[in-house]
Formats: sequence, C-alpha cells, structure tokens
Amino acid sequence: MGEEMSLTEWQDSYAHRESTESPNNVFPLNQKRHRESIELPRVGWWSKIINRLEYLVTLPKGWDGYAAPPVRFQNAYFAATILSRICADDSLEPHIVPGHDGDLQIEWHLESAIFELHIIAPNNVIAWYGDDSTGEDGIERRITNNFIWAIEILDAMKDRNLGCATAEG
Amino acid sequence: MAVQPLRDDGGSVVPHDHPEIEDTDEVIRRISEEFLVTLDSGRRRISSMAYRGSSIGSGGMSVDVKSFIEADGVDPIEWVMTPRWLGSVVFQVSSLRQLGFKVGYNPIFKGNKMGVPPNPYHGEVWGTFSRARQKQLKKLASWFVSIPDVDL
Repeated sequence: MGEEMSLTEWQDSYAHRESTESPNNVFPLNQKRHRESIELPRVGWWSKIINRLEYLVTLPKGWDGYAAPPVRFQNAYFAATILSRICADDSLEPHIVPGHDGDLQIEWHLESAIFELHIIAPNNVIAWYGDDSTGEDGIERRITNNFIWAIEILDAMKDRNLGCATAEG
Repeated sequence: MAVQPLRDDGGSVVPHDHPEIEDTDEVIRRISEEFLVTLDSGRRRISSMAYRGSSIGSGGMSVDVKSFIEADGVDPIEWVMTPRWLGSVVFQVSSLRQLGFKVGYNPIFKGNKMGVPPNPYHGEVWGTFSRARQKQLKKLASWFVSIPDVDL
C-alpha cells in the first residue's frame, strides 16, 4: 500500500516555502507511492474549500446544461495541494469553479483585480492576473511546479485589499 | 431539421460555419450556478470559465441555436430553462464570426455516447479561447434569462 510520510518529512525532502536553500520554491509532486497528509492552512475558509472540491468531483454529467463531466479527482487533489502551499494564514478566500473537461479554476476576486489559476491537469496550470495597471489582456503565465509568482500575486492582492479596507474605515 | 454537419472518423463534428445559422441569428449559452463567484460586496460575477471551449468532442463552446428552437415552435426561454438552469446569455452570431469564431451545428441525439440528455438544437462556437478572447466574449454577451444581482 506504500509508505506513509508525514507532511514534515515531505517538506524536509523538497523545497519549503520559506527555505533560503531553495529560493525557487518548487513543489514537485511526490512520484513515490506515499500517502500524504496535507497540513491544513490556518485559514477560516479551508474546510469550505475542501467541501467545495469534494462537491465538484461528484457533479452530475451535464451539470453545465450541456455535456460537462465532474471535476477529475486528481485535479481537485492538486488544487488542494497548491492552496495548502501558496496560501498564508491571512490569504484572501479563493473561489473554485469547475470547467468543461474535468478541469477547474481557482479564482481570487477583488473589485479591481482578478487572479486565476486554471488547473488543466496536475502540473499543467495557466495563471492569469488582471487589474487596472495590466490592461485588459492581463498577464498570463504557464506554470508547471513553480508557484512563486502566484504567491507574490496573492500577497499583493491581500495588501491591496487591506489598503482598500483601511481607506474605507 | 437543419442540414446535418460533417463528422470525422471518430464521430465528432468537424468545426464549421453552418449555412443555416445566419449572421443575423442568435445563439444562447446556459449559465450554471457553478460558474458564479460571489464577491465580498455580495454581488456575483460570471467566471471566465463560462466562456471557454471544451476539449471533449469537437472542442467548442456549447450553445443552443435560437432560430432552430423557434423553427420547431418551441419557446427558447422555456427550452434553456429545462431542466432548470439558473440563467443564460445570448450572442449575435455576426459578432462571434467577426471575432474569428465559427458557429455551427452539433445536435445531440437520444442515446448519445456522452450519456447526456438529447439536444437537437445544440450548436457550438469554435475557435481560440484565449483569455483575451474570453474577455471579448464576455463583452459580447447579453442576458437572455438574467440572474438577479449577477454582473455579466
């Protein structure tokens, strides 16, 4: 059945988010047959997101009014793994939207900015960010396993949101 | 019944501009609640995922061809809300074709391999669904059956 590895052991063997030894913060999927436990981020919305992912993998065929299948489990699992790595305790709450082919998209929305991670398959992600400064086309990048840019964007959006809240308050 | 589209060896419709779907026609796209995201303000938006093609079958964006529905004496609003779908948007075919998309016919018959309900008015919009194109599609869309408090 495979060897069970704790999250700590997994993190020790790969680049960690705050590690100075591996500044690239690459998150390769473990190729061995391990059962991994994903450490839950200390964010209030985590269980809601997991519930949402569990729901999306059980959508009925044709849920979109046409022929879309449910979200593929490996995509949902990958999404949860990414979120557990790139979100800080005070990160904005993401939205999870299913696609037409078993894919899904993780989205963060502010009134004036949107960030999307379109998970086509594990390690096959298209990231897109748009706000007032990027123009209508926004910035798009293909990501396989280096999510540094995503972390930077989320931090910037969090600061932007706090700035708006402060201005209004 | 409209002219049946050409299919490849695998049975998938070959992307085309159907001659009976005129530029003056409209196509309807159903919007599932799963495509809606709620902002902190409480308002909701339609995700860009709603304006994307599929890699299944012919690889287009599914729509319902309004003129085909009407030609059969069926109420288009009733058709796209059965079974109950939250809302739908409509596109002018001419606008889609001007953007470089092809708008064609891909009926889904009873007993289809996909295991979904039959849809004799099913059409598809084929083309490149880059992020920029999705934004353009979003701008072209107008409500057919609107969803309260949802921004297009």
